[in-house]
Amino acid sequence: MAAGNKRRRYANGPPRPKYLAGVDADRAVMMILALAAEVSALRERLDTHERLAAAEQPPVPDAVERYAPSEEVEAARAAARRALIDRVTRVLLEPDSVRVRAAGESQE
Amino acid sequence: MAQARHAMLIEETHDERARDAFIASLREYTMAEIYPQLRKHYDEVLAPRYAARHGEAPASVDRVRAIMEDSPFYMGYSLLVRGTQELLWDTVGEAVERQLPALIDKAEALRAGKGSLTLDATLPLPNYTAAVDIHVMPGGFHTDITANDVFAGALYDRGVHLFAFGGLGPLNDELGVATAAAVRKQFPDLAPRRVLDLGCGAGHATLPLAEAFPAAEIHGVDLGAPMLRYASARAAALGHAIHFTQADATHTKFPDASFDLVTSTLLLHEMPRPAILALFRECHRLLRPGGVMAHHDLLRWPDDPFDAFMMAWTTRHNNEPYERASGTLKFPEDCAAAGFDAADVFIVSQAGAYLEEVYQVSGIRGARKR
Repeated sequence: MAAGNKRRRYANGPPRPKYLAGVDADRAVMMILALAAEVSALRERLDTHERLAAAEQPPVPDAVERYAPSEEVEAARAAARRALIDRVTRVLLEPDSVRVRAAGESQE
Repeated sequence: MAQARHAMLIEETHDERARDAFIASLREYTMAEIYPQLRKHYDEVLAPRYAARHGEAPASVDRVRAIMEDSPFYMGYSLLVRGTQELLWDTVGEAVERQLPALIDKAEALRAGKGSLTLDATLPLPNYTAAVDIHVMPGGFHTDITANDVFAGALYDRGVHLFAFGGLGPLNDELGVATAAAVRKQFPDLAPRRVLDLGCGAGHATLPLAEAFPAAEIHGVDLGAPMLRYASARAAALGHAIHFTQADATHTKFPDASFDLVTSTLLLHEMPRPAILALFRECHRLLRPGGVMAHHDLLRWPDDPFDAFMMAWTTRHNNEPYERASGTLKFPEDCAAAGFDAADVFIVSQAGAYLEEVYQVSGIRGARKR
C-alpha cells in the first residue's frame, strides 16, 4: 500500500459521500466482479481477432475458437488481466486511511 | 500453469477459457499480493495503534478479529476473496452444465474399461457434510443433479485448478504425489498389496498412489456419488485401474485387516473432531499388522493470534467450519486412542506444494500398526 514513487491514486479533500451500505454493497461488488470477468473475456476475444487479422486469417468463429495463444501472447494477456484487476479493485482495497476519511470518521 | 488435458476434463470455449483465466488471476492477485500486504498493514499500522491505545499488544484471536473487522482494507480483501470464490464455481459451473450430457456419456464409456465403481444409494450423509457445502461449492461433493451425474467432479476438477492458480500441478495432484513420496521415504520396506485413499474426491491424490505402488490394488472411497463417477472415469482416462466405492470413511464396509496403506489428503480439515477420531479407529481396523495410515493436512494451528485469525478465514468465509479440528489434533495421543502405539506415530512437515507455500503449517502424519 506504500505509495513509493508511484503516482498518488487517492485525492485529498472532503470525505467521499456515502452510497450503498451493508449487504447491498457486497452484492454490488460481486456483480462488478462478474462484469470484470466478462470485460476481460471480451478484451481477450478482441485480442484474438486482432492477432488473427495480423496473420491475415479471417477472424471467423471457428478460427477464434481454435486460436491457441503462444506463451508470449499469454504473458501479455496475464499482464493485461493484472492491470484490469488493479484498476477495478483500487477502491475496494484502498488504504484504511483513505476509507476512514471517505466514511467521514476520525482515525482517532 | 496449464491444466493437463484428459478425456473427462471439460471442453471450454474461447470466452470460457478467458473468464477462467481472469478468475485464476484474481486468486493469484489476492493470495500472492494482497494477503502479504494485510500482514504488513497489521504489523505496521493496526497492531501498533491498538498497543498505543491499550498499553499491550493484541494477545487473542478475538482482539485481532475486532481490529481486522474494523479495517476496510481487510473487509475489502475478504469480500474480494469470497466474491471470487462464488464467481469461480458459477463460471466453471456454466461450462460444465452446458456439456453435462456428453460428459455423462463419456464417463459411462470410460468406466467400461479398467477399475470399478460401487455406489450405495442408501448411504446416509453425515450431518456435518449435509449442513455445509464446503468451499462454497454449490451442491458440495455429494449432490446429484441428474441421473448418472458427474457434475460435482467435473466442477471440482476444473475449479480447484483455478483456485490454486495452477499451484497443485497440471493434474492437481501435487499433494497426493507428496503423500506417496513421504510414505515411501518413511517406510522403505512397505510393499503394499492393497491401498485405500479416504475421501478421495475426484481422485487427485489417489492416482499418485497407483504411480508410487504399481503392484498394489488401489481403492478410493468418498461420500459423493457424482464425485466418484467422475473420479473413476478420470482414472480410466489417465490409464489407471482404480476401485472406487461410495462409503463413509469413518465406517467403511471393507473387512478387518484388509489394507496395507490407508491415506487421506486434505480430508481431515473438513471433519469435526469426533469424526476424525472415528476415522483413525477405522484406519486401525482396516490395516494389517505392519500397515501404515498417512494423512496429508494441517499439522498444527498457528500460535500467533494474527496467523490463527487468518488461518480461520476459510472457516468463516469459505464454508470450512471444522478446519481447526485437524490443526489441534493431539499426536500421538489421538492415534493411541485409536489403537496405534504412541511410539509408531510419524510426522513429516514441509511437504511442499500450494498449502505449504500459503500457510506453512501442512504436512503428513500418521502411524504404523504393530
